[in-house]
Amino acid sequence: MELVYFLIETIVKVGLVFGVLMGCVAYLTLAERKILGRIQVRYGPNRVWPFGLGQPIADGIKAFFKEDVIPAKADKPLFVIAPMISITAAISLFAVIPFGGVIEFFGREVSLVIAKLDIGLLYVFAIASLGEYGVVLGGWSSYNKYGLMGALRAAAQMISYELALALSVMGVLMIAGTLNLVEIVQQQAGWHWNAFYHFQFFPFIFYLICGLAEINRTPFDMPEAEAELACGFNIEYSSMKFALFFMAEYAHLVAVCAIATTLFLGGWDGPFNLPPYLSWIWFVAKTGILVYFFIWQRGTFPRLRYDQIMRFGWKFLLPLTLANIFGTGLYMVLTG
Amino acid sequence: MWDTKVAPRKLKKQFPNAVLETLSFRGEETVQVKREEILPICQYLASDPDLSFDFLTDICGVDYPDNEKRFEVVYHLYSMRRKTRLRLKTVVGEEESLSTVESVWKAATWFEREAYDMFGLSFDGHHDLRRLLTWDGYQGHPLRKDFPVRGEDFDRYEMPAEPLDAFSIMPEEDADERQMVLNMGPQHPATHGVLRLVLKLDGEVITDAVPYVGHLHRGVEKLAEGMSYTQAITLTDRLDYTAGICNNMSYCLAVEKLLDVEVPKRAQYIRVIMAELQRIAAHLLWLATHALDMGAMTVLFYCFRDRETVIDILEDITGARLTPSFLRIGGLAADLPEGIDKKITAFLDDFPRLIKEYETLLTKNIIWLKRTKGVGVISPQEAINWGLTGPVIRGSGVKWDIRKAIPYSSYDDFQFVIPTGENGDVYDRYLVRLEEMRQSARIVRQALKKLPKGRIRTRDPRVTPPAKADVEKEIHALIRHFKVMSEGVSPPPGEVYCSIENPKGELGWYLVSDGTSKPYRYRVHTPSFVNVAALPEMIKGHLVADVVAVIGSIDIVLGEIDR
Amino acid sequence: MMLSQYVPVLFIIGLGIFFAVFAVVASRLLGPRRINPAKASPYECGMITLGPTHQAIPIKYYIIAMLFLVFDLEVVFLYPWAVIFRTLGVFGFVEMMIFIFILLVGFIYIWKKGALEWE
Repeated sequence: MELVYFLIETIVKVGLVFGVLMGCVAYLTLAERKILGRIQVRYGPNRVWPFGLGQPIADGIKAFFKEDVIPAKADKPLFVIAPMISITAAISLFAVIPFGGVIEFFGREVSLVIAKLDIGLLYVFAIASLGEYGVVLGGWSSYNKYGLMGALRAAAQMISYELALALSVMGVLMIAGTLNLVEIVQQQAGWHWNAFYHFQFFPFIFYLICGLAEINRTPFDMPEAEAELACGFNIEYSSMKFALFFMAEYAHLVAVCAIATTLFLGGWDGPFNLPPYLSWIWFVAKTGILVYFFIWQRGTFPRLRYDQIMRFGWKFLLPLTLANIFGTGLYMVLTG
Repeated sequence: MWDTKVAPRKLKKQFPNAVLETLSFRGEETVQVKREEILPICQYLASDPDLSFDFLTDICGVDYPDNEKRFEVVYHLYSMRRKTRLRLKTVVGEEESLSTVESVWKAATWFEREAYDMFGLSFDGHHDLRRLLTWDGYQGHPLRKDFPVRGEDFDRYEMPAEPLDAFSIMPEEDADERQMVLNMGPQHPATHGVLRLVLKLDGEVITDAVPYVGHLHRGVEKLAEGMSYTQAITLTDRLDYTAGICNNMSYCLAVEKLLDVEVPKRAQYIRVIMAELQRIAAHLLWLATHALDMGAMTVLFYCFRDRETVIDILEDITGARLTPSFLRIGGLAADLPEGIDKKITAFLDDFPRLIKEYETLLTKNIIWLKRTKGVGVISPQEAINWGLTGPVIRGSGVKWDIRKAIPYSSYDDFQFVIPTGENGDVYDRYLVRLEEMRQSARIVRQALKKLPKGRIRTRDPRVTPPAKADVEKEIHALIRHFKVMSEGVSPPPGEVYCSIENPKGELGWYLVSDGTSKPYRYRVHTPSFVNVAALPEMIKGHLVADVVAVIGSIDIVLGEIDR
Repeated sequence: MMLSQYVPVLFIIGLGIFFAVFAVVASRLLGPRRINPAKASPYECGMITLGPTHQAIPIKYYIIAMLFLVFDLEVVFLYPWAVIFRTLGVFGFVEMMIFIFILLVGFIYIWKKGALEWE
């Protein structure tokens, strides 16, 4: 009987997370266009339903009905699989992100996370690395020079920033003493947010910068860089395959912000306590603010150049994140 | 002012056998020289410290099929030091060739290629004599007088079975299989039109770059030979389509010089007002696209918002937004509309705030600085040798602006400064253009304040038809009106070169008249053409992303490169 | 029971794969198929591709990949260390700092050698 309950609970949670995530991704595209529109003295989508609310749906339907072109010289299996890898990895990331506390449901304790893994953070990094394959293979298999350059850039940039990203959260791990994301959030309860309470503010900033680079958003959008590479790694993609890359990018955006919230901003912990079944509101609010920040900076910054990005990652972020490990270690040794 | 006669005199003394004839027409000096001696003469003119004709403005051909030696090659030189032009001419037969002057001025490279393409002229020693505006394998030379203008005079065009491939054009000997050859353009978001660049890449680093132009070639110079002088105004709008008024103005000034017509002061001032507004609009468009190329999307929308205001003003005056064709030979088509000065003043009052808005987003933005500083550097000497013009040469620190050097249309009545850069990089060109917009606003304000009353078209009966009221009353007015309207203006035989400072640099017309109402030769010297020729020089050794930055910073418009 | 934690993870990965396959297959079925040689040729700004596309990739990228491997191993060592940092105390701290220091010497070496330069 326990097994059945467990399965039902899992299926409901997986379905819920998947549904909410897809909805978020769809409406994030609208939100981005609306916010950028605001910044750039224009309207953004406003034709499909009031305030353009039907736009994401219309876009989705359109993507299904577009011709799916596979270039003659492309490596067909890889070309088809690449966007699937991207979207699957992006969705799978959400398995370990806790979006709320523990709630009581028909006498059964249900925690608002799909899987409470002990190696939660390792899982996140492992899956995120897998997602990079989508971009790299997609660019490489198109047999297109712009695509290839995008793929090479993506490979070099992502692995470089993955290092700094992994190192930037080390301080949090040292303080928390666990890789389990649920436990990390619980430890931060009552305003003990890592970003402010344990001098992890700079690592938080580093994490955000690396996150921007990992998900290829301006000013780090080298693999796409539409001004130079026309569209970079997804240049030959059309129809739903292109849409999958697109959705993966936005799902990654949400994931980066959600993980930042979990690790640095206390997850579902809020200024005042909400009942457990509403605790996700804080999580969503914090993630939303970070997402807004990511969109906002896209309207502000020009694009960096490729060599500058690599130099910044290796010569600036890497030493500083290492220094943070030293600093955090020293702080913990000294204060016990 | 330096005596313009000195150069022909010195030249005659130095090369008594080579100089055949010297001519003076409308204040312009022409020296006819022997074909064999063209290279030593050019070397002398460029290197003589007293003359120092260090700047090659233009090389073009003229075809006289009835002459024994049918081609005339015309060199327009300019001396930065003496602020004087000199025209060299030499005749070449159909089977003959003449020496290249590439070694004297690098600017000659593309001009000679164009002359080769358009006339079939051959230049000995040219390192890369290929067709420029048409493609390899094209039959015929379009600007020869025996080349047909109309489509029905041609045979049916057959597509070649094998698609034309530019790969063979890349130097074979240093073909390195580790290097990637990449087509950038013509269908590319950041090449500002249909510019095609073939890049040779070592990873991300550019080892070689070859620009290909001509995708937008419409044969403007040929078309104009079949039009009257007035009709040909409409062709000018479509060259640099971001600055239609300025193009009109340059052409009209050239025809007026050919006719020796004085334009009323009021018309001159209105021309200045419109040209400077157009300069602001063109620079705003440049900033918008340049910033977008670097990923600063927001600047694009800000600039387009404000360009709209300027375009609205121009629309109020001319009735058109992009292709006004508003200027007439000897004046304007119409006077300023009522209340336009308030609109202009309102815009000018707001403009400093708007520029500050763009600057907030870019000028001190660390990413912008990183992307633009030290990129696409060209030294002042190189810039002059390449014949660069406009903000590009000023960005390198050469204080050269035709509005000051050879003032036209009453520009000497106004106070403004020529901004220059120091390093000749993308950032300096950016700063120069921003400052130019401020100066343009300043000029417009002065011109509005000083705007005199009076006619807007000259009284010269050769170009201006009689007033309608007179036509209805008097027969000779009616005849005059009919003649001007049906035949157009017929300047006396002669030739002039006249240029103005366009938003993108020196835009000049070399007009040859044979006394009829159609130009015998209608040669356009366009700024983008010379600036894009130096592009490979600026991007070699840089990264792919810098190509985009440099293209943006030299602000090319393919409409005037390809013509 | 330990492994049962992973069952929900498998569920969501499975759902992700299902969604991806569904999307691609559905668009394949729903969308038109009007392929022609020009459409199927690689996009190179409207011109015919010059030379081969998949050719030798510059050594630069391999250097970056190698460096990544070295430092990623360091990160792998750091994770377990960071988790039990509190129990290890001062000894663990000093020991790890020595480890990082050794790697840092290598890092400074490659920095000075110019392996991180791009032009």
